[in-house]
Amino acid sequence: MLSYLLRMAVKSLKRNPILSALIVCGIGLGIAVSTTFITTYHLMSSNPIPHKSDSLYYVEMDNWDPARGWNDDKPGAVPNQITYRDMIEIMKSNIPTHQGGSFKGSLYVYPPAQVARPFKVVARMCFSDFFALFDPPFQYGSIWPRSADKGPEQVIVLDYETNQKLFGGQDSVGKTVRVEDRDFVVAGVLKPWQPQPKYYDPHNGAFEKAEQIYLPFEFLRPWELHSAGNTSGWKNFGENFKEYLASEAVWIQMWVQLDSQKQKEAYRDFLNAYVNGQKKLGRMLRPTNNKLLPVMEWLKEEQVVPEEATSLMLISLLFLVVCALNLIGILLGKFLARAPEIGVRRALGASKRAIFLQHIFECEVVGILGGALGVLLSLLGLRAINTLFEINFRFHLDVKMVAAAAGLALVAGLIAGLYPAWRICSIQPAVYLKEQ
Amino acid sequence: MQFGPIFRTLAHNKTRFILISIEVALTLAIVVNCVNMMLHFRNQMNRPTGIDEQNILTVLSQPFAPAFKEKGYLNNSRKADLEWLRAMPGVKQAEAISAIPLSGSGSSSGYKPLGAKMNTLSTGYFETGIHVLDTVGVRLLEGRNFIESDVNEAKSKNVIITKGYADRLFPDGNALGKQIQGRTAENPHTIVGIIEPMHGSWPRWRFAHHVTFIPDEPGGFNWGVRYLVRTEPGQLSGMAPKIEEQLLKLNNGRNIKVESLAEIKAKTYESNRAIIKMLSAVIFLLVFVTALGIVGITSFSVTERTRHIGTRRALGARRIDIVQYFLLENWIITSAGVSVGIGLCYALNYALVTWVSGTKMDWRLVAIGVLMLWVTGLLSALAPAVRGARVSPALATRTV
Repeated sequence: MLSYLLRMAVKSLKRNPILSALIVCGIGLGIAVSTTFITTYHLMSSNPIPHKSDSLYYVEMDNWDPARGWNDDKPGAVPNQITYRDMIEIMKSNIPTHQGGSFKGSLYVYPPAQVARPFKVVARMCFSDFFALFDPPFQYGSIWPRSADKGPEQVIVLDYETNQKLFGGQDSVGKTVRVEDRDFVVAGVLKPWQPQPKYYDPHNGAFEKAEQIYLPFEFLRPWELHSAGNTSGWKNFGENFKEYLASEAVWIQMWVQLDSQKQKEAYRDFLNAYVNGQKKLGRMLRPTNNKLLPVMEWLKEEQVVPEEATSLMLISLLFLVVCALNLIGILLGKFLARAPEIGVRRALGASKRAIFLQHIFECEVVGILGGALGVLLSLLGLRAINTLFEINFRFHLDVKMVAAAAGLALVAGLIAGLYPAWRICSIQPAVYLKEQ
Repeated sequence: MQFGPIFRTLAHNKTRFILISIEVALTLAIVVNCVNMMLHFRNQMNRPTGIDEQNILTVLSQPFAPAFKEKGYLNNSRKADLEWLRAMPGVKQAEAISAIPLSGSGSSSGYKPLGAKMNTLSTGYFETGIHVLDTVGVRLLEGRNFIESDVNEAKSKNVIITKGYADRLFPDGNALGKQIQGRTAENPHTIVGIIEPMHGSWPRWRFAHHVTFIPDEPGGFNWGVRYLVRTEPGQLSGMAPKIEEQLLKLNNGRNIKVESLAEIKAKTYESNRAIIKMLSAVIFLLVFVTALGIVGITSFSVTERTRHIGTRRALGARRIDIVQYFLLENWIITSAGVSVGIGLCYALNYALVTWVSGTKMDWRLVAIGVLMLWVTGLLSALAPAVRGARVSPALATRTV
């Protein structure tokens, strides 16, 4: 039966190859445009760490001006980073499985003089737990021990590219890298790692490059290092670095891993107690509004998906609708032109159902061909989009999107085919017999 | 004209013509909204920035030699750099500045009139030397330019602000000479000059035109020292490598990066250009698909009515009459489509503005869209109509 339907469909398509090609191209374009923009939206809004996005929480507390909230336009909003002093205090909790604040710093790396001039890198100043929280894959070595956070010990983790640049991609664990004024021992080297979006710190562009080196947080003190990301304050930052660290300036991204509901509740209680304690000291005088945001909620709050990506996706879906309407019109014409032939077949005993099936099957064949063409074209479309952006973000098709394209193609073929197929199967054979 | 027969045909083949009308309507709605978005992004990118952006080079001096950690050493290096930059042939003026305008990176703060009971108003600010106005290419409207002694004031500074910011702070227009404060009343600044509108560090920020210049000695070891170099018109090309070479000769304990302000601005607006290109592609393909649909439908109409055409030709209709008939039919369908489409245009615009983002659209855009679809419709129908007109009168008599 299936092979018969297939043969009929192919025969019908071959009868007018130019028309058939136009039909397939029309639906193919629709699929291509919508797949391209659905993919861009999908990738920008995707979950960057699916296996633990529900146990990682971004911590926010309201340490802002009692007289004026964090955001004039959003009354309930609280600062989207925390202060150094609060990070130090809340990291004393032993409730989270893993925890740690981190920030971006701009530092000089000094390769051996014969290799290259000193060059600036963006460093992530973090704790050992950073790697346990976000699971970056290691190529060589591993994370530095928790004990190295205190002290701090002179250990470093390099990203893939920096290891290429400094050590030609060799296993550099145990070798030293000079950063600013001291030598660091390589504890590990990452494989290429680019979380998209860069959820652990999306403040300077959710699709910016991940950092090139990772260093123990506490080296900020000897270097008096300020954040290379965003720093916000509502009071003076102070006269010197020590005062700056004790100030109300927020510049640290704080994450905790809470694996169970119980843990989460305990941590929430802990934060509330901490904030209430601070209130007694005359700080954090705004209403207590602590937030523990799971990854996807955090990304939503930070609005990492540009509004234009949403608009373009909606528009591309309407584009597909236009293509489908087009298809209905053309199929209708094509099928009805065949009415005399169908009239004869009906008169000779072909059932309405058989005629309907035959035509709807032909539409699905068109849909599948169009879908295949559409996927190929959307590869071109995505490649074109990639050339438009200098940023690190690269759009590509994944299995989900190919499946979505196939689904769209089948649905479009079905919807476009229903009416024409119904029309052709319900013609009156007598009319056409008489005419001939 | 032959409206009667056309309407009767249309009534007879309702579905197909309704389909084409809806397609035309949707096409109009999508195209007009896409163009509306494109214009929004283009206008945003092409707004005047108030800065002489075509003739400005930016220089980043990023020290690594430990000597730069000492403030005095850094200050001397800046002085030497500026002296050399200003003496360079083709250079109009040069100045050190804490961040590069239009670059997307900088500092912001908030001020209000001293003692006022109100929230502070946001402004981008730059710490910079006294020749900043000539370097940026922005004119003084009121008050005075910076003088040497302004830099030496410790905390309360004499500042220059843009007209837009001055008018927000002091709506009565008497900002000159007034004092402004941050959240607390300590160390108020005094407004000594008001300048033409210009954009600060983030041109897409809604307060981009709020700019404050604070006289100071900008830069530091970790942050680096930045310069703006304004050249005589047309002198900019080829200057970058010379500057890099010479500044390294002055002091090799640092890296130097020279980029034109135009390049930096282009990077800031990269996404605008990308979106404009994507939308253009969508518009082009959509009009193409719709035209294809009209060609298809008209072709079918013609094939289906071969006998009618033959009969009409036999009865004396000229070819031009047949072409006219099909074009008129097409025009009626397209017009039905665009009249629905105008409504859809506004509906889609409303939906985008309400739920996603966007700007209200100009009715003239809709009018242009309607014209464009009429033309597209007629052009698409022309070829099948002409083919139809070639049907010979004999055909009619043969097949009946």
